[in-house]
Amino acid sequence: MAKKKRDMHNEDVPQNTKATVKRLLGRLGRQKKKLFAAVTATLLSCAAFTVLPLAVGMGIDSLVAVSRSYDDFSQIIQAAAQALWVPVLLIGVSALVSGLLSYVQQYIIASVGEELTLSLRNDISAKLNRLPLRYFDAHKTGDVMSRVTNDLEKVSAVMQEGLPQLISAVFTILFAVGTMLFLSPLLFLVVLISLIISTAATGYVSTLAQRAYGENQAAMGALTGKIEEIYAGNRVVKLFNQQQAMLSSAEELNQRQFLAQRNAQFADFAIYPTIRALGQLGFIATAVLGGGMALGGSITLGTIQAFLQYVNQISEPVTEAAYVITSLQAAIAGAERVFTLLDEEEERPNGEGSANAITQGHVTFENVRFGYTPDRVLIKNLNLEVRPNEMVAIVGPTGGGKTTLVNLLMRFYELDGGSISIDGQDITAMPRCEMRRRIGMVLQDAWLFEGTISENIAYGKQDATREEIVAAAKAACCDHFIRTLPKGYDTILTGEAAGVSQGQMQLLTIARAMLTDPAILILDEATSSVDTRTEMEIQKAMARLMRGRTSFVIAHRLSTIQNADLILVVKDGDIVERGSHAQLLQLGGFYASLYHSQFEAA
Amino acid sequence: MNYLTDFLKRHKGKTVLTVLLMLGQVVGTLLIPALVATMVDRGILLGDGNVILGTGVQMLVVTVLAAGISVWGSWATSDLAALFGREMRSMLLKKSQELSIQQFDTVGISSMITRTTSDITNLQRTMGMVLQMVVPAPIIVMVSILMTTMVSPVMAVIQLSFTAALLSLAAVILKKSHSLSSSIQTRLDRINQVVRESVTGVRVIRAFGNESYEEKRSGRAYESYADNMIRLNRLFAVVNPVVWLLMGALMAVILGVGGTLVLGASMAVGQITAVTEYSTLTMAYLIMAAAVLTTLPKAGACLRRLRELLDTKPAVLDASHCPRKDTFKTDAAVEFDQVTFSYHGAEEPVLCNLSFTLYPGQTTAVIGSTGSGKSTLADLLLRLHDIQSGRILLAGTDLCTLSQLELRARIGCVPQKAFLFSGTLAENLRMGRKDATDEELWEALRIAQAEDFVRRLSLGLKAPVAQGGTNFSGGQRQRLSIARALVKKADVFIFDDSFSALDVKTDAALRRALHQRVTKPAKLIIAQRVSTIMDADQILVLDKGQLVGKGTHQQLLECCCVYRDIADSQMQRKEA
Repeated sequence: MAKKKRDMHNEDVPQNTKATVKRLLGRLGRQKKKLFAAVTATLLSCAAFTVLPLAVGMGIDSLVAVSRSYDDFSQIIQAAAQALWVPVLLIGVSALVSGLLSYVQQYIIASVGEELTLSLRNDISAKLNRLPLRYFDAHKTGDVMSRVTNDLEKVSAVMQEGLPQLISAVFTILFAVGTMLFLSPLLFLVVLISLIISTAATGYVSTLAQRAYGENQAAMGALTGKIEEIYAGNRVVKLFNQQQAMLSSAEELNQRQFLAQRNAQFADFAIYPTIRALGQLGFIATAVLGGGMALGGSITLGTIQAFLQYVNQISEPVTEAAYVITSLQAAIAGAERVFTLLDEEEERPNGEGSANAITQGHVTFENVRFGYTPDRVLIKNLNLEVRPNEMVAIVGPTGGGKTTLVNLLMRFYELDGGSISIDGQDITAMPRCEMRRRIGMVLQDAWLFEGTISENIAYGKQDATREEIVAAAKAACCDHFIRTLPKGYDTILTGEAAGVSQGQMQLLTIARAMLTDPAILILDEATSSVDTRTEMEIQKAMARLMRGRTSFVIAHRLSTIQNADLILVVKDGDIVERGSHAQLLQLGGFYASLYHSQFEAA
Repeated sequence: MNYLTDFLKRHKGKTVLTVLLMLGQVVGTLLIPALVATMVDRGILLGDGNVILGTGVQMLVVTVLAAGISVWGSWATSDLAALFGREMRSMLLKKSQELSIQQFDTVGISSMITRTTSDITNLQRTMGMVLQMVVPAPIIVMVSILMTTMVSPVMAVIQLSFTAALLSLAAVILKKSHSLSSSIQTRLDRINQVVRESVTGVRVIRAFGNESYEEKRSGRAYESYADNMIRLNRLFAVVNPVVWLLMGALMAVILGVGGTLVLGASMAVGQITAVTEYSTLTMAYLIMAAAVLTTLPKAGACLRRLRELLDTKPAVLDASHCPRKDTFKTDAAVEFDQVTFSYHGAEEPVLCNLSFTLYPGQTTAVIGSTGSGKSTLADLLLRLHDIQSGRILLAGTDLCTLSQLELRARIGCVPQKAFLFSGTLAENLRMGRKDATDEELWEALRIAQAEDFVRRLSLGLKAPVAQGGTNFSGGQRQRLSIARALVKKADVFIFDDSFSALDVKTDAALRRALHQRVTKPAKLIIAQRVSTIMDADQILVLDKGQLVGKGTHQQLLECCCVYRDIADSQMQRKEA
């Protein structure tokens, strides 16, 4: 993972900006009215804001006029009021209007980004349920999670701050430029030149900054990778006295990160004063030139003052815009990744048939061919018939294809050839959901979600009554321990500190399968991490669960499957041996040697 | 201990310089409007072109100087912030190596990683922002009020009251947003939780046909998050408009009052704009500072998490003074004498009153169900935990009097989980002993039954190992990890359930090779499979922390019922 990060260099640059932006805008179209209102409010608010410097300039001009013609010192306040009431009122009104409209805009925009990301999040969740399992094999959980959180956080942040900022910057610049042109085209020319210089400089400096960010990310990636390794191997580091060696190799990367971080942050901070200084050069030129013009009488003092304020007004947004564009880019890159996820190929559409016909649990595999990747066929040609209520045990070496058989029966993966049918119906002819509901499954890793114990048991049958839940728990031998928990069936299972052991979690998943009363049962018998007493309990519970149903058991310990109706030895994707325990022992093949190796002494 | 103030004290020079540079930056920024005022009042209004030009030159000088100081200040803040990160990270890394395994695991790997990486990066960034944006805020308030006072005390009062109004607004908003922000964090955690569950549980969800239920569950999490975010956004929607209103009102008041003062000849016209600029600049700085302040609680939490870790005292420490090494003359390689151990805070001891002896050349096996304490036993011998009572002797020396380095150099251990480091095979193997020759490495590989596949690698001993050893299969990793331990010239070898990932045949061959070629050291094998340990010289049977049987396979079958039960559960007795 860390390596990948280093190679990618910069994940904040989108691959195809145009297409992604188009698609984002398309989605925003749903909130057209709000956006229109917000943009209108921004426009008017910026317009009102533009009035402020003019009003101040007006005030100063009339102040200068009054002070020149004025010589009666007894009525200062009246004179001031007379000269200034219009500009002061104008300032007050335009500030009020601008403020109110800006509030309207912010209030509206407050929900736009969140609603956009909310709808994308819901789409992702729906999408996750339609993706083939292959997708999950190839992608890390963390990656999928960062689509939902980090990537969309960037999108909503930009919608909330960046974009409105950009829009109001554009309007502010437009209005200011218009007014300046109106006040004095000559002075504006000076401003324009300095603006071009500082824009070019901004562009240049921000590419430098980008490079520094990239290097910083790479340095951080390398450091994180090293730290992950040292911590994961903590025990080995201690056992082999490698602490000092590990520390010095980490320290080297830490130093590199220090340098990169310093550069990146410096680039980030130094950009503002640099650009501001360049903007100030324009400001000074305007002041000097404007001062000269005022001497010549071609412009009033108030106009110069107003002009200078406009110069200040536009130089900030120009610098800001450069920054908004960086965050905009990162958001687009995030959105792009989200869209890529949403565009992933989905599972084949569901069949039209009904799964109600599954009652017996008569399973047949016919000429089944399958591989997890197209270039590696795992199962070449597999045929199998399992009659109702039979117990089938699957044994064989790891990676041989035991779990694959089950995955195919559950239709977690599509076949490359042949067919699987249950009670005479091809599994592809039925809706997946319904078909799977008729099959109960207990998996090796006990997956429970954050919720109460009873919610977890009722996961397969949401409308189960408390009595049914308790009955299932009793049958799975977990009623007792549940009752020892402080809140019994209402105890909330959380990720870590739940006070429920691995074995007990396994029992809960058995109870969960029991409650659904399936026609076919699949058990991935995983008891290696459980102590012997719990193991016995789990096996008893499993045996009870299997009674009167067709069942498939992936066996890790041979002792538990000797009474199976059919034992399949699966190796390299093929069933290499099949038969009862006695038959296979007599055969003297793989199963027999596996069985005997249990007792072999060295 | 307060690591932040310690750091600033340690780098007093840099800190003071940074603050001074910020002061310079602020003064430079405020001088421009002052110069504009001069230009207006002495140049334009008096009709003096030379003053206009002269002030223009002064402005140019100030601009260039101020820019230089600001850039320098940016460098100083970045340097200080990055340095803080580096030093914190060094301390944390060092601490991570000193903590005992149990302390480390209590925190958890992922949390340790977060603390060492993103928590510190977050601190680096926040510290830079604070130095750059928050530190100048009080400076500019003081300097600008001072400069305004020089123009007119009345104006200073006006400016002061507006600044106070802005500050109280900021305080109210920050306070309100604080509780909202923390509830937003819990909701975000909830989203993470739900998404993680729906990805890791995808098979179960589909097996139960519960897709739409899951969609609803996650939809609820998303919605409650969005609701809160919108509320927070709406709260902040007040900020900009109010600030603009304040600025507008300020301009109006300054113009009105200032105008009156101008007419009264106690102020010049140009100074009206100068004072307006002082005030608006101050407000702008204050708003930036407030924006940075909203990120402080998060950084504070990071700092607290780090402090908690850095303040932890390592549970296992080397004896501080140079101790008398009471070495008893003994044949035993290892001796456990009435050893009792319990985890911190646990009611029941994991191991209770344990006594046994390992002799050189002999193989001792430990067996018991999960939770019986058999792995803990190996940990105690390696002094990964300290025992509460009794003592453990290594060749007659009490473990506590040996340094951890010395102790572990004398014990070769193959941990349960085979973990290899990125680098080459040889580098990994030489972790056992730096100066081992290639031939010695090959010998270790031979015993570990790893020679064949390593020979087949085109680069042999120089073959690259990916992080965690993921480019080797589980069984290969396990054998390499065994070889790594064997490279050590150890008095004792511990194999902690190291054979379980091997198939039965390799397991047997390996044990045969060990028996034949590792003759001198004592061997301690912790196992689950009875077949693995049947031929040991001595088998210890553990049950709930008690030693319930000690003897050979045959002896134990006859007299130890726990052992018989374990054997029965794994194999049908031959006579059955």
